[in-house]
Amino acid sequence: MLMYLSIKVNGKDHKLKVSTTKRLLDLLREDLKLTGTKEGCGVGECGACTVIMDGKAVNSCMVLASQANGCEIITVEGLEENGELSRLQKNFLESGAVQCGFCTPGMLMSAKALLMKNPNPTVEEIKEAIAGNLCRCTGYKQIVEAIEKTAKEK
Amino acid sequence: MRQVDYFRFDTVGETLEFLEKHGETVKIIAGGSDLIIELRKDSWKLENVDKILDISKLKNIKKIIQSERFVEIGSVMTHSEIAGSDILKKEFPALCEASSNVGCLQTRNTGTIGGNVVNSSPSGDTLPVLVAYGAEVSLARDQGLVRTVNVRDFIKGPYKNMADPQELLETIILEKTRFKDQKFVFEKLGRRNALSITRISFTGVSDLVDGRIKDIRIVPGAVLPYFRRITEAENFLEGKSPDKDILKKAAQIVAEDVFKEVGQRWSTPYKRPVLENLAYAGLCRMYGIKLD
Repeated sequence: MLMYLSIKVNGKDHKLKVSTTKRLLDLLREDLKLTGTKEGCGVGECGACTVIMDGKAVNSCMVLASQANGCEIITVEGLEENGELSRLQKNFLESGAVQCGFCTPGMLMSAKALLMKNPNPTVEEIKEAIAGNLCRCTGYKQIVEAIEKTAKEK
Repeated sequence: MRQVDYFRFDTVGETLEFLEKHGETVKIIAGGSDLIIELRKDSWKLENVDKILDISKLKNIKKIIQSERFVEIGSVMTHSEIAGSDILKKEFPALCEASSNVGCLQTRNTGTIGGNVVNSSPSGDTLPVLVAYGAEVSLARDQGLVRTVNVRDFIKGPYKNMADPQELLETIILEKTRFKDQKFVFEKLGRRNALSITRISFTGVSDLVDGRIKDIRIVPGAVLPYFRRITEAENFLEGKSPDKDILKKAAQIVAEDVFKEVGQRWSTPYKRPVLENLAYAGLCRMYGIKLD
């Protein structure tokens, strides 16, 4: 079955006709060509597909596009500020928090969701916020530092 | 991906009407953290299912209300919402603890307490806590039919429960404990810290009056096909002042009772001491006794 849905992604409204069993992840990557959001495990264990839905970090592999009807989504492409990388993204680069890069979009979105809610998180709160994001290069220390640095700059 | 039709209504009434007509071929979706994976696997659990019914946006079952004696949790409240609820933190802190230990933040942001109950997995983290608090579920059906069932009886076995296909789990009802000094613990063991599915858990809740244990409830998780209190250990502890020797003995009773029921399996030599140690550590933490 196909259905029409309206969805706001990175501040832009979209009206799309999609299959009712399409995942939000596939809608973003295939229909909107926003391929920054990655698919890792596909079962909600790795966090690579994390996006922000109505202010909360969610795994886009575990949300149906139809469930996101009427919702507001932010993906990694929505982080840029005035055509430049955001402070958070720059700090990821400067802190060496990007190695192979596959977990990075998900890490950034979990970090962004945290900072939106809690602008001054403790290290423990940062670790809790990214506990659902796996980095197989194991560069967690730099990732935590980058998020901490961003919070301090604000 | 299994191909199914998607339905969502604005009211509980329309939802129930739809379920009455199509219940046998409908699977209800709330958070979707279990169901979407099942859809992709085309799981046996979805045999006969060609429609999914989204209840996650139903406002009437997305709230927590309290009266003098009861707290009612709408079934589509997410684990994040449960963990952050002031009412629940005050009245049922072990439930907040269990919800805050589900998977990871992303899962807690979408996964719901009703989903946890209806999925009826032996690893469901909120289930042993709900049994410890004596929770009931209210199952609604078209034409205003409602029945309430104890969570303990509701879960029949792994992924099996008493809900009819035409019924909707509307709320989870908890009677306030009236404990003077509530002690609680929810301990879980998974294969790793975050993002894990529970392999064994231990829930304990009690009052502590003049240094003595009162009205204790002990429920292990993920070791039995369903959830029940370990009354033998509870009776042993009732009225006693908690100390290490007593808690150790109670932990032994817990393990003995559980493995008497499940019998010897290949995993028993590992699981039995682990459950015993988890129960001991949990009981010590519950009463603020430092482990060596």
